Amino acid sequence: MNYPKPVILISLLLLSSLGAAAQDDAFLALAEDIAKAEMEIQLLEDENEIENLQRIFGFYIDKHQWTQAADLFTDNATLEQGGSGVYAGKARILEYFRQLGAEGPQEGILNDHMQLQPVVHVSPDGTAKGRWHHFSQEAQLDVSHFWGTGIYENEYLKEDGVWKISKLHLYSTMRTPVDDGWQVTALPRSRPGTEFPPDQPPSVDYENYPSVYVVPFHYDNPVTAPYAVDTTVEVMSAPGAQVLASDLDKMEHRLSRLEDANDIERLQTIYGYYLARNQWDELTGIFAADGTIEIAMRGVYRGAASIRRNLNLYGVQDELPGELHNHMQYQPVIHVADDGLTANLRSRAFSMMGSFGNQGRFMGGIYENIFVKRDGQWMMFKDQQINTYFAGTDDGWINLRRSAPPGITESNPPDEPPTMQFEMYPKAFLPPYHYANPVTGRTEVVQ
Amino acid sequence: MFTPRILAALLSLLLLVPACSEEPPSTVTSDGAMDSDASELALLQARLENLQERAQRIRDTRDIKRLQRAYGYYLDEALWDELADLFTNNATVEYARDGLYRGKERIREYLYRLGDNRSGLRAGQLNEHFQLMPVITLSDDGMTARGRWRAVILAGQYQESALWGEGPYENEYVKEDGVWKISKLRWYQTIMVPYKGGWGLNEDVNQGIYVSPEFPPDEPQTDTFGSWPETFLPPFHFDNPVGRYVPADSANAESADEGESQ
Repeated sequence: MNYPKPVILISLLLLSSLGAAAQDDAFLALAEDIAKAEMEIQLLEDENEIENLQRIFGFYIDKHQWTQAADLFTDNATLEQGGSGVYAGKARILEYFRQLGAEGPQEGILNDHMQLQPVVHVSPDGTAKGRWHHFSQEAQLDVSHFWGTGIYENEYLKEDGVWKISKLHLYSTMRTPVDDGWQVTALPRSRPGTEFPPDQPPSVDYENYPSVYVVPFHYDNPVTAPYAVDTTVEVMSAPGAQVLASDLDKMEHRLSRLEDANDIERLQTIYGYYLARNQWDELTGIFAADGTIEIAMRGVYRGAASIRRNLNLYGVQDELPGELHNHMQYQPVIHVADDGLTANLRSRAFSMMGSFGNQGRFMGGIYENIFVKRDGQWMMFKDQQINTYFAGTDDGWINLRRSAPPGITESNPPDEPPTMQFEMYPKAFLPPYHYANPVTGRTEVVQ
Repeated sequence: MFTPRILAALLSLLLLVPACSEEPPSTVTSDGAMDSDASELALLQARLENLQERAQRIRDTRDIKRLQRAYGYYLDEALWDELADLFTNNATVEYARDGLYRGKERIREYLYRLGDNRSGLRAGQLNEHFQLMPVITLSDDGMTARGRWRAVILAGQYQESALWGEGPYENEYVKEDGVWKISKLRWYQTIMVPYKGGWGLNEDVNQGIYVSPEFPPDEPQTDTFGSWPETFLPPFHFDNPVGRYVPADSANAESADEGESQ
């Protein structure tokens, strides 16, 4: 809000010519405005933490990390997936996960569960709700393979400053075997099991596609009935100027980290858009001059010139007649260092690729990237992509046996060998995380 | 630079001047100290205002993401009235190669025609439109914004069709009375192809034409993009945030070996 300078000057004159009571009132009003602004920063941090939490959950589920996933729930949380009924309490949730398969990544199993399109609303009382899109690629070698979609309507609770999932409800929308697709075959939603019955029956009666069911929204229309929260904080007595200045210092620090996370997600996304159309000079430009790129075990290409050279492996710059090279960037989990100079990102790669005339391919994978801020500008410092699969659009994963990633190209070799050896599906591999479990701090892999 | 509340607090004190002036200053010992308190207050106020503006920009970016994602969830379910309400009164939409439709009511009619003039999905219809990869750019005054997104689509009709679709949006948003709305929606259809054979073996099923033959647009397609297997690059609303790479004078390969070996 801008006021004309004379008004401000008069106000200041009045203030200095009035008594201490007037100054106290002005400081109290300022303290309340600062407290309100701090609450608003808190809510933005909460949104980031909740989005990280749900995305971290998804990455654990991908790899059957049931213990890690169950630890993201509150003690009294509930879980309900499809039509399987409600499991109540963290211990039961872990039991539920364990009857889905052995703990840890399994050879011959693909279990990618994408967590997409978050609409999260946080309340100042430490609760939150979130709607997400679910998109799954599930396979068992030589047995089955499926596409699935669904909607999560979840709830979250902040306990001792840590966000946890208090209610997870995945409504399944569509499930079909890859061989048939959703024109031919629509599988019904799951039913409560008899060997491991739920604690409560399904809370909602609905059927999967081809039936039509609108999953209830936890929010109203954002334009005609926008979500609003009261962030007013009552301050009983005004702290001195020094305390307020210190409050503002801390708030500025926290706000800067929020801006950083926003910039990094944006940069990683732009990376995907440039990659999608072979814009190699643009793509090279977002790297730090001493950055590295390491894709698909092709080795490390260090420095801008090498990164640019590496990109020639994927096609000619800006030329893609009749070719789809859509490399999408999903599900970012971002952690910015406290000094705001470095940051880590884990995200999901999902690509739709191919030249017209040949069977197209899907590619799934994981990024573990590092960003640096130089002269106030975030840049990509390390880009590492670990592929999960390359699968033909019609072949899917059921008979997919090629587990070796592309590897080194002798005619355009890397500067350094690959930093990590991995094999793709159907082999089991867990790309290391840059973060610990946000609830327990656990990093080791439970087997 | 003062918030209304603080200004009100200060001005309301005018009315209390006699009472105040009779009270002996309790914590302030000289006029000089009071002056310094006043300038300190102004300084703190200015800092707070800067933080509020920065926080507002993050909140705006998040509100716009929620708006576009809400759009996607309504589109999934063919909830056309909810969708139409997300637009400004004079917004425009342009899907694929169907041409441009102007104004909220024309948009509503266009959307209904996309859905056979009914609200909600038909029995056996699938219409998943994931809204992914936001790149949101706010204007300096924080009142307008642009956003690039990508939709991944699983659509079809049970026993009749199944389609994979994909394409980017380049949209514009306006903040009206504190609420973000879509003022321009432009979706480019990269592919809309049958599930069987996918984009490798099928051309686009409709060449990007939906309802325009029966419901002509207000303006023809605003660009010249074709349909798969023709490919194109919709223009970006943003510049490279770091800067485009400019190769050194020497050949790329020459400078390629500067990296330290492990």
